[in-house]
Amino acid sequence: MFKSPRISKSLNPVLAGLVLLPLTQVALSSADTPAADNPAGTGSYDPAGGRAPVDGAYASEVPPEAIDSQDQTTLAADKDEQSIPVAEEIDFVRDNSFRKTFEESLKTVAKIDYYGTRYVDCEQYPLEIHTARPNQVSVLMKTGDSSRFEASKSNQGIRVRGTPQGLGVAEQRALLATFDFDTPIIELEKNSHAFKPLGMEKLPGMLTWKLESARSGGYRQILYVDSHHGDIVKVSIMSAQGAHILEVAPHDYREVDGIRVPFAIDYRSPDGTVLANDRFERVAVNRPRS
Amino acid sequence: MSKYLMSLIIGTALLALMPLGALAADAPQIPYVVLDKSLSQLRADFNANVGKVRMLYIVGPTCGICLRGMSDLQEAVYSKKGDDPRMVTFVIHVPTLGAREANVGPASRLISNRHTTQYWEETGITGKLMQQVMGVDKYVWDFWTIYGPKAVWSDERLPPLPDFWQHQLNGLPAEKKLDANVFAAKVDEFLAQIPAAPSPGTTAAATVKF
Repeated sequence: MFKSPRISKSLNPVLAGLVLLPLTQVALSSADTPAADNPAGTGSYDPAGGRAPVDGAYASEVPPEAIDSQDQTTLAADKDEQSIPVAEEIDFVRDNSFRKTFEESLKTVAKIDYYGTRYVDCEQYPLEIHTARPNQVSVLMKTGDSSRFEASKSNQGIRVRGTPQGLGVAEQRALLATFDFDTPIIELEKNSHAFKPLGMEKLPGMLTWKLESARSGGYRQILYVDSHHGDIVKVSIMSAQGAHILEVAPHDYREVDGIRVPFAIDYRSPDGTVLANDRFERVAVNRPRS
Repeated sequence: MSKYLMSLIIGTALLALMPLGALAADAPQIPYVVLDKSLSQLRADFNANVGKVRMLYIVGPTCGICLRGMSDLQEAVYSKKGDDPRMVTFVIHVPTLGAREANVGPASRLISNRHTTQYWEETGITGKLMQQVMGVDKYVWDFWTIYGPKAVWSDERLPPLPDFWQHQLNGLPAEKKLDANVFAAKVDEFLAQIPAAPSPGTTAAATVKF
């Protein structure tokens, strides 16, 4: 257990000075806005937000249309230290034009088939993933000369046969249960209340919108949406109790027949260990004949 | 003067002399400066860095698009150029979209650069003054500017006209929308006007909260 060191008497006033300084700065730094009881700028996010407005100075020079909400009721954030609270998150994600064309195009797609390879450590396995509306998916993987792994989600439920390479059966089931043919942006259009905005978070190289949604089978997932292209770049799948099950990171998005699809998916355990990497050589987009 | 009082003063003075960069690197929270309505501190910081390329951003710390702009510039400018002392940045957070001072800290993390100072300006007058400078008919925020090494803030109130600017607002020219790569290339052009030899940084020396 950590023991606090004794401090000499002569040092005590010096430390007291160090402690006092931030308090004096609060007073000095804002001539026309004296510090209130809750000194701000000290770190953790406080939805009440810093000092109270003083003398009507707060936002007094900002036109009403740029203020939105003074009580921060529209701010979204979770308790994750990395999250940045943002205003009107759902509206920004839904209404931004960054992905509209692709979303509209995806609505006309009936099936998407992925052909590639799953890499697990030094092993590799031929892989096919077939997806179809509404939320059907089947995974086929050749795991040996005469063995294969099959998993599917359909109207009849989830079926898993064989051993999924890299992932455990529970993780594979969670993946299937949470599969969405449509993107969250399309889902947001249908039912924005199904998503809880969690603010933004910086991932390597990009800032993402964070959204949480409940999925079938009692799962929950946190989606990280690329704030430029609207691509899902990370999904954290959790149990109903909030235990992290799997991290999924689709990337290498490319445009295929008017929609954006990932050509790579990495799977990690909650502690960050890489479990498997899927790489797709070919993606086939199928639309119903008109 | 008693020894106690002397020690108190020394302790206070020692902390005040700590360099801004050290604070930023060691503390989980990026320090920021609280501006009053006169913007006098910002003006002083701006003019203290004449001879350098200065970037001045007006952002809302809870505006996702503004945050994305900061993130993009971190990738295109700051992560590539490092802590080039010829380049100084002022990020002014204004109270748009319900933002409060408490929102400055989390947003400030998006730019990691030793010569960048974050400010909270509670009235939002910064955007109004920039609106006057730009001669546009809407409040100016989510606004990204570059000033060349010769720029001086000489007016008592109004900042100088930017040498280059981009934005992410509706109603301003579409061709001037923030493009971090274009912005970074422009920063390079201005940096080319200054000798590459590093000089002792004159970062904004202000009353910093952390």
